[in-house]
Amino acid sequence: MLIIVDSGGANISSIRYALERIHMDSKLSADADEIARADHVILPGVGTARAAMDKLRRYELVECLRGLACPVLGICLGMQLLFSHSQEGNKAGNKAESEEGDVDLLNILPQQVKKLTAEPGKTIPHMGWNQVDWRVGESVEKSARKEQSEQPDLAQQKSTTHHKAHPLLRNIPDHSYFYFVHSYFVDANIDANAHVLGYCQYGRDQVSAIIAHDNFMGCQFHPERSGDVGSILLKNFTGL
Amino acid sequence: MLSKRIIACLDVKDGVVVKGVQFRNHVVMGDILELAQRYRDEGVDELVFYDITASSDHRVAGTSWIKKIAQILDVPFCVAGGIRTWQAAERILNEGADKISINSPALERPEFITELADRFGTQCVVVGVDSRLAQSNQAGSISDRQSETQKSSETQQSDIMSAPHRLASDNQWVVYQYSGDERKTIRAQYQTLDWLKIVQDHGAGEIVLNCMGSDGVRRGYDIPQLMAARECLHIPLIASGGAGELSHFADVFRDARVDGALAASVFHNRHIHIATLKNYLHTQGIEVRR
Repeated sequence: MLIIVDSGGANISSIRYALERIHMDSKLSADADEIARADHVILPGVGTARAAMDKLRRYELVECLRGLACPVLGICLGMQLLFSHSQEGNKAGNKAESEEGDVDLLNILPQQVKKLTAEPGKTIPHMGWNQVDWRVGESVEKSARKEQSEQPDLAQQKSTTHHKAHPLLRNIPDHSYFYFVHSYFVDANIDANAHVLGYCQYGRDQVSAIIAHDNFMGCQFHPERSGDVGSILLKNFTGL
Repeated sequence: MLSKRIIACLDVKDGVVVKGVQFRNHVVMGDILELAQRYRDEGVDELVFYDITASSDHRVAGTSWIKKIAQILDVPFCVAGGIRTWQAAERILNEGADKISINSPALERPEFITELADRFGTQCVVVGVDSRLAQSNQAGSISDRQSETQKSSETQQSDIMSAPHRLASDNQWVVYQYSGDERKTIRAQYQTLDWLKIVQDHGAGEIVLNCMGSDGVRRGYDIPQLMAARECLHIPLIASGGAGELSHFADVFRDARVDGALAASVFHNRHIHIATLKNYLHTQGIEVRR
């Protein structure tokens, strides 16, 4: 059974409907035993990191979630919860470099969730459809684009690239648009972070868009609201 | 790069989609689910459903159709109409809407924006603002009737002295309330730019600026007003009112730097096909999802 963790986010029904559209049954639960027995777990989340963590602690789900061995997909705030700590809800005042007063998260991956950098002409929240670039196979994709007409065999190479990439990305073209809504982000820093599968650029910020670390996966965007590519991603996840 | 959003607005009245000219004389445009599905297939980035009479009738947007829309749509959508309590907002969000939009209730009590943002996250909270140029240079908490009265030059002089930024030559847009029903439409107490800042400061995640003067007449978006709005906001701004031709969309993205452009009748009556519009915008160097 696919369990959606009842973390109190308002996007839970949209996720359920998206799963129904790909003919996948799901159940909403905040019960640790039930979640531990799941085949797949989706961790949604809309709202603040502090509110979501308070709820997970209240239902005693922190250790349960950390100990899961089945495929887990965090969506939006749910992805951020997989990291170690967040500036969101930091009453000390969100100083860029300070981590003091941050909200503790599930700490599956050691990285801080930060507020998007304010820049002239940049609107926050980051709301809308943004292009996600794959980390793996990026150079091949670029050359395939440039020399498309002369070298049709590169199209073959392009699909090979996808198969080499993480199964979560199967059949999703590089540079696809996904729907984002968030004010906090995890810096992709792709040279250092092997868990980043895809990233997008928003002003100066390089946003981790899709991540995977063992059985823990996450996307910053909303696959349930990202049209066809979002459905494919959910199908890929439920097929794992 | 973040793409510019094309948003189709479906004004809902008694369970069907309607459209009026300059907010009046509503005519039926079609079935809610049928239109929603069609726009999704044409590549719309987002949909807004306004239950246009809910607010002036003092009731909340109906939820039976919201769930059905949430089940079929895989792009984001927003619901507006008569949301006055966090419980009403919660019900609509739980039905599957991604955002809720409030207008008149925010004018009655700006703190309501903050309450919604704190509870559901700022990204869910859209504030719609109905605005147009004032009839005279006077603005503030007075009725239209008063503002249309010829004022003595002495009074005008004292206004100029006390508020030099409010000269008659400046563009003065003012906010209107209950504009879904022309009989109930009243002028609110705010100048538009002041109100936009208040809305942003209270925690709104996005603003839809409905420029009433250009709405329904298809001569283009109200670029000066939207430019002025863009200048004072750091949250996303959606242009609404006036789209008639492909070029109007390019103009509003280029000149007013809005994040999204909303239109209704040009999409409903197939004057503009969304996929064609996006291809056109792409040729104009504007980033769109295709």
